[in-house]
Order: sequence, then C-alpha cells, then structure tokens
Amino acid sequence: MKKAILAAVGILSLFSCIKTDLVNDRVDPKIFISNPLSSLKDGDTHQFEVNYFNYVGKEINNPDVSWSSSDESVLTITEDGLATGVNSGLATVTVTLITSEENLTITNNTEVDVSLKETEEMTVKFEGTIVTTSSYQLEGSYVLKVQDNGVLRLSLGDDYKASTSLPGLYIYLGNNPNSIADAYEIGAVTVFQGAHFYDLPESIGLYDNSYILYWCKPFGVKVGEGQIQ
Amino acid sequence: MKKLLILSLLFVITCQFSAHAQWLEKKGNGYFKLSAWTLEADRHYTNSGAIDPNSTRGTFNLNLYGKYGLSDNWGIIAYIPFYVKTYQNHQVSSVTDETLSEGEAHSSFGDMDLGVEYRLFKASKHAFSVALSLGVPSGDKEGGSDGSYQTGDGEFNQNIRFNAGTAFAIFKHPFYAKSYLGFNNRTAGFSDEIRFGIEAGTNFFDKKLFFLLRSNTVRSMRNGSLSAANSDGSIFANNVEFVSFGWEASFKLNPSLGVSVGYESAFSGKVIYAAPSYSAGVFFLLK
Repeated sequence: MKKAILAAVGILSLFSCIKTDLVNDRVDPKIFISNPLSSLKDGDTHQFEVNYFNYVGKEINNPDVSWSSSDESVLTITEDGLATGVNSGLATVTVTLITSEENLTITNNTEVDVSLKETEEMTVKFEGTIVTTSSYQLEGSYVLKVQDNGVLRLSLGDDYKASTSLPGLYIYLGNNPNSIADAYEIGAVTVFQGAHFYDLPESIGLYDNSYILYWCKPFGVKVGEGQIQ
Repeated sequence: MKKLLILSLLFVITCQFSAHAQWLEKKGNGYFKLSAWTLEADRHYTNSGAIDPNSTRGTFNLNLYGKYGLSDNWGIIAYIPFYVKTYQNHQVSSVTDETLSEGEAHSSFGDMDLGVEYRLFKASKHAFSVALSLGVPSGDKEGGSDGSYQTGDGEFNQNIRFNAGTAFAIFKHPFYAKSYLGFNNRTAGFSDEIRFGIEAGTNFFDKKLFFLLRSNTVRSMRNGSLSAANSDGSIFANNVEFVSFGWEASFKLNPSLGVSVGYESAFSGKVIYAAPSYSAGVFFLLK
C-alpha cells in the first residue's frame, strides 16, 4: 500500500511541476520614419531615420532599407535617406524594407512640403483610446506627446476607468501586443479613475512604441491596450 | 515596496474541511487523513464572473486533516497544509522559442484551520452540530519574486458553521445526506463570507467503498475594504465567490486504514480559478 500512496502523491506532484506555456507572439513587422518634417527649406538637406520592429516586435537597428521620393523634381533622397529640397512643392518620401525573416515588403511614408520656409521637424502627438481586451473594465482616451520642455508624456483622460479588482495591474509601452518581454515597463497602475499622466524617460522616443499595454503581471496576461498610430 | 496586489484563488476549496462522510466522532475516536491536493489553471473567473485566460498557475499541497472526539458531544478538527507549493509556468514564444518570462515557484507551510465541533442534537438518524474553526495565517502572504506566489492570505478568520445530517435508505441501500450553513468572519480588510453546501453519500461492499457527491457555495458579503486602489494590503482571495461540485471515493483497506481520491471544480464563480482540483490520500480511523 505504501507504493500506492507514494505513486498517488508522486503523480499529483508531477502535475505541479513548472512546465511551459507556448505564446504566439507574432506580430506584423513595422517600420516608422522617426523624424518626419513639416517643411524642408529649398536647398536644405535632412537625414531621415527609421525605427524597425520585426515579426515579434523587437527593434532591429540599422535595417537595410531603401528610400524613394514621389517627385524628384521637388525632393531627392539618397540610398541612406538624406533628402534635399530641390524645388517648391509637395513630395512623399517612402521607406521600404524587405524583412529578412519573412521576406515581407513593408513601407512607411511621409509628405514633405518643400518651400522657402525654414526646415522644421513635424510636431506630432498621438491620440487614441485604451480598450479592454479582457472581462475587466479598462477604458479611456490617451495622448502621447512631447511637452514643450522636451519630456515625452503619456496622458490619460478624464474618461479613464480601470477595475479595482484587477490584481497586479501594470502599464507598458511596447511593440508586441502579445508579449511584454521587450516592452518598457512604466510601472504599477495606481490610478484607477480619472485623468493622470506618466512622464517618460529620455530613452523613450515618440516613435519607439506602437502599443500602450495594460498587463496583469501575476497572471501574465494582457488586460487592455491602446494602439499608437 | 508596496505590498503586492494579487488575488489568488485557490484555498477556498481546499480549506473546506474535507470530506469525512461521518458525523461527529465519538469519544476517543478519530479520523486522520494525509492528502495531496493539486490545482492547475490557465483560466480564471473574473470579478464579473466571466472566464479570462491567464498564464498557467498552479498549487500543490500536502495536508493533514483530522477529527477527534474529545467526548460524545465535543470534537476537535484540524486542517494542516504543511507543504504548499505555488508555481507558474515558463512563457515561451512559439515563434522564436525564446523565453518571454521565466516560470517560478514558491513553497512554504500553508494557512491552517483549527476548530472545535459541538453536537447540538442527535435523534436516531438525524444529527445537528455547530463548528467553529479559526483560520491561522501560518502561510506566506507574499512569496516569489513579485510577491504573488502566496501560500496564505495573512489574515486571521473565524468560521462558524451549522451542520445537519440524516441517514436514510433507498431500496434498502443506505445513504446519508448532510448540509451546512456558515459565516466566515474575515479580518484585515477582507470581505466576510456566507458559506453553505450539501453532501450525499453511500457505501458499497459491506462499508468498504464509500462514495459521496457534494456541492459547496461561497458568497462574499462584499464588505471588505481591500482593492487594487488601496495598495496597503493584499487582495489575496478577496471577494471570492463560487459554486462548486465534487465527488470523493474512499476505499477501506482494513478496518482502520483506507485510501481516497477526490475531484472538485467550480462551475461558476468570481475571482477563482476555472479549473478542477484533484486530491488523493490515505486515511486512518482511530477506534
């Protein structure tokens, strides 16, 4: 009988071993022009830069991209992304990448106004909505914007509400809505209703992330998200 | 560090004084059981009763359960989970095979329940008793790297419950049925609970094989102050509610020794894992 007891306990304890959960964290790869222009002075140059996030949302440095201009009589651009204003007018700059992992062609573009005005980088703010991806209440609007003092701030609106029954709720910025492995952890959520904000460190750029993620850390599961686009 | 906010969902079922399908023990008699109990879940009932996914988490415990008759009217009861292991699986990308988060486990002594039972009334086939049990916070209310691998809730609760039972026969085959209604007074900001349940069982082969079915219900009074918004406490198992169904089979190997296996699962609930628990054990009857 001792053997039977040991076998029963042994079988039950086997169930309690740490095993492996497989997570499908594939996302569509994305590329962003991270320093778009609102205007380029005729005769000036501007070095465009890109951020590339691969099929699991991981940032890949120095991607092998190609650049093109929709109207070379207005704006020319080199293989390295150096643009020159040639004549007044509008031109669209397009960056293209064929991903090495999946051989997918992805693009991003920005319209440039070439004129006699001074060259000016575009002031961008992202606005959107946080939505729940679970059965827990989580909703509200957000704005992601660089402040006048240069600090990137994520602001949640008056309409923000989160369930106080959520255990271990954390907020992240990331590029993969299915994983926080490479995401930036802003911190534990301490405000569950109403407007509030998070000032982000210098290391986080406006174009570095495409998702605001609310994650239940202990359960390892996403609770809500806001797309930054 | 602020105290960690986490609900854990498991001990409610296992801490029900488990199935000994008899009445209050006679003086000098006892029932002692050594069990292993396990629950593993990748889904849970949320606070609204919906089912949401979660990383696979589990709990395994080894526990001693005992009832002993101090007199024909008084008995003592103890549930001692002397080894509790809480764990979470590794999270691995199915795309890249990279580990997204490492699995983790924490083990310790668990929360004990110690109690007394008093026979209120007994008449031939009917019996009524009242039991008071004290939930001793002997487990860890925080555990693991993020504190969420608790093996206890960190609060001292008092659970009073009234039991009623009867024996009867159907086609000359013996059965029993019993029910209970209880109130669990929780402390440290946790909501109090109403608990009730029913159980019915029978035996076969000249009282060698016992089989019972049971259902337990827990309803939260929702009068606790703990929530994720006030982070000065844990919301471990706060506002748990469920209706569960289970069975247990016991086989007597000899007049004083036997083995048992059991199953229990919540079929509706709030803030509790949506997965069944399994148990197996060996029991000793002192006569």
